[in-house]
Amino acid sequence: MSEPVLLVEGLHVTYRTRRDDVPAVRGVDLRIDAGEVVAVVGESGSGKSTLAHAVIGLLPRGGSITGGRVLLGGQDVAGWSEKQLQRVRGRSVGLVPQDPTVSLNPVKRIGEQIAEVLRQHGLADRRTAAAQAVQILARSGIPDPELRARQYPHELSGGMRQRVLIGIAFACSPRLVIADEPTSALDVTVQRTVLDHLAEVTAEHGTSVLFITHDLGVAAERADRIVVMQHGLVVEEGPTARVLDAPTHAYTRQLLEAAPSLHGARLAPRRPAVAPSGPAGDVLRLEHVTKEFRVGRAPFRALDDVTLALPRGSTLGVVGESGSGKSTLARIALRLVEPTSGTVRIDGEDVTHTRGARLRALRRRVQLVYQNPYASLDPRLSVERIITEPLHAFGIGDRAERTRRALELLDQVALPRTVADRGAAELSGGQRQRVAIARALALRPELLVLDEPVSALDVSVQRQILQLLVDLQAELGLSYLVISHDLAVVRQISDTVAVLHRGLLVEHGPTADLFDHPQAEHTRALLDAIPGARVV
Amino acid sequence: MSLIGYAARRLGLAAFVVWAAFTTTFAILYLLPSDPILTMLNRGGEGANVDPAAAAALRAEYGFDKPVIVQYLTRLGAALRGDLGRSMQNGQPVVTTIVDALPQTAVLAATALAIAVVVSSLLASAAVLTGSRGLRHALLSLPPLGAAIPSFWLGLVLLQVFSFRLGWFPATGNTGWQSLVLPAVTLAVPTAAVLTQVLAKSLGSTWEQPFVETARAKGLPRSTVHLRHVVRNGAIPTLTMVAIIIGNTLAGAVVTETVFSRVGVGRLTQSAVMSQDIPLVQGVVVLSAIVFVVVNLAADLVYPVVDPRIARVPATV
Repeated sequence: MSEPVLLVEGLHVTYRTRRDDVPAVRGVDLRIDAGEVVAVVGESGSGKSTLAHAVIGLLPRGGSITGGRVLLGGQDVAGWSEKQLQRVRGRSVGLVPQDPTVSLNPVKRIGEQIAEVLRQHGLADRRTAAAQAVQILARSGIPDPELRARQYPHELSGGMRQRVLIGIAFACSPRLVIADEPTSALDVTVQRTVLDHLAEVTAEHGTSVLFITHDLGVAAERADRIVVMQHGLVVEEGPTARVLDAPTHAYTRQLLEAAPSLHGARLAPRRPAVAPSGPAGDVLRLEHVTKEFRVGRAPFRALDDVTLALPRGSTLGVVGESGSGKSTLARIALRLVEPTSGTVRIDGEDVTHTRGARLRALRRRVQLVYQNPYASLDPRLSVERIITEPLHAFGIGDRAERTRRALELLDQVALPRTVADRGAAELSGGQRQRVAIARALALRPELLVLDEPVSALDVSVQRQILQLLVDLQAELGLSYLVISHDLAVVRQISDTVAVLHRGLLVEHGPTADLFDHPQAEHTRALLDAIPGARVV
Repeated sequence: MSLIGYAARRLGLAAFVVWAAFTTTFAILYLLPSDPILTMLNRGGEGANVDPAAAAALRAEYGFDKPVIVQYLTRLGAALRGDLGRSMQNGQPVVTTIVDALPQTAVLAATALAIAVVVSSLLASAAVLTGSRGLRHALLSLPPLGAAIPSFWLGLVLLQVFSFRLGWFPATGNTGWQSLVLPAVTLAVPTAAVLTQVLAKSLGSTWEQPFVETARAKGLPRSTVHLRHVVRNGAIPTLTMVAIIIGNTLAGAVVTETVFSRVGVGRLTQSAVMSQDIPLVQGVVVLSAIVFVVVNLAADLVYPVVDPRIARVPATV
């Protein structure tokens, strides 16, 4: 058997912080043979990204390898100096970073950034490097490569930028490429084309790939072998089909169950249902809503004649990619912005142009849960203070009553009452999102607008939050407007789904119909692009 | 918005700032309850008798006998023609007096700025690049120290050591580059302190950016990554401070030129204020406004060159 491209033996990585040493990788073994694609799967904090960075000596400040060996082509690089590692990076190991929108230098031309790696490793001089950079762009499937080479990163789309970064990683034909969550920042259809491109380049060069991902669906579709990590340890590894079909470790089974892309019926509530409060009918209606923004001279139509209804007590999922108009739709439903034309009705009442005290009264009935619970909670406030903020804003209750309400809300979102006095910064992502939901429920609203409610969370936590939302809906008779780029998430909680594409409503119908018999071409493209959908 | 419209708007704004500076100084200086004519005639002789006839004549010459609004409009009209009146100290036109002193101060300020930029770039880069936490803390404690040292004290210490004791540089005067060294260093220290602080912070956060990891993953040495990728991105925030820094330099020139007995706008300002030479004080204020406006315009023009993401003509204003 030939020598492995990468062999990691008993690797330990520790982060030294001011207070103490935190082990991130605790004795990991990993083997990647020539031409093999190995996916390391795990949630945040599992050590998967630390493992990837340790291989090329790019650990963040404070991190260091405290034990074990990292053999690249038979040579142990674990103790190598910065100078020795520089000869390896870019030359024999390429890196495809996580977020293409911030991974290129914003003030340097694309061509220069590609040429740089060739010149650094002596594969081209100043003159030939420029020409080779254009060739690399052409091979990356980027139209007008000469023009693109002279442009700056902000002039390229996210998908194109990731192609550029893949081009840089493969420029020196390395034997190993590390892809660190290479598409998690991209739209699902773009994600698919970029992953296809990555697979093509890999096959063409016979490159081995260390693929880091939190998404079991992506791993299932793209890897020869899957390695599952948890708490800095490898808990399971094996050929992809075997890991998916017959997982041996409980954590793998848990990940498989939680992976939203791999299955999909609507979640059933686990709490007794009540009749929806308020009159029957549509809690929210958008009629021929159009919204234009002025960008330079030409108006940009973010929403184009959209008509939608949300029956009381049900969930409407609005799906689309970035730029589809889904966030604008949410902001109009919340009456944070006024539509250019069309009508917004809450419980049949026209609120399109409502202002002042009436608008403020409307805010009590329609509440919002934000996407990122790390950014939407004030880290200096206690959890109780955060939850009761809306009560303070509307002057509801005295101190004792507010405290009582806060504890009641904590019960409803299944958080222990003891977190009331703690700061939001001390909580995990899932706990924070529960706090954010409790805050949105404080005023007993009828309609919750959920803007990407789980996209910032790990899959197993996503599952728990979605279940909580379904339970709360039954228990309190709530109506939900869910905005998401993720069809799989929408499928688990929606009764009806609307698909937006470039401001137009391309399809709208009951969830099961839409998923089983998609009518619009764009809906089919979105469904096809779900990673893992073709595998299972 | 078209390029011409943008330029016209910027120029209009610049003219407004200069006009506002002129008008504010007029209001403060000419309408204050002290009588500039009496001050002028009183020069030299404390409590000397003032000849009422001479005072009246002077009052008429300077136009102080007319109503305020007439005085203001007359002076504004003259100012638009480049005439800011005559200095009360020596009778020379204010504009000539300032223009004569300006080159000396410009050379001093430019030298000080150059020293500050070089020193702060080196200090900030060293602080960001060093692996030793102790050295980083030591380097980063220098800026607050530099900002805390009073300029006049620093100037006196430099004089004492390098001029009187070692005899390396002349203590006073405007002749030769030797006379420039000590004042330029004195003036550079507070500027360098501010620049270092801003630059170290912004270089440090630029090093945390993901594109730096991309650059390092290409196999570039840390020094190359710093010079080629980090510095230009990290320098962008400091560009915003350029106007403030130049303003500091002008203010610093007052102290520095006085301590080192140099000819220049700073010393002119000092003597104009001391002797209540109102037209000259106003001239200096208008000059600062013009410098401020020009520097800001220049910074706006340089921005798109340094950062391609900033369009020369903003899409929506």
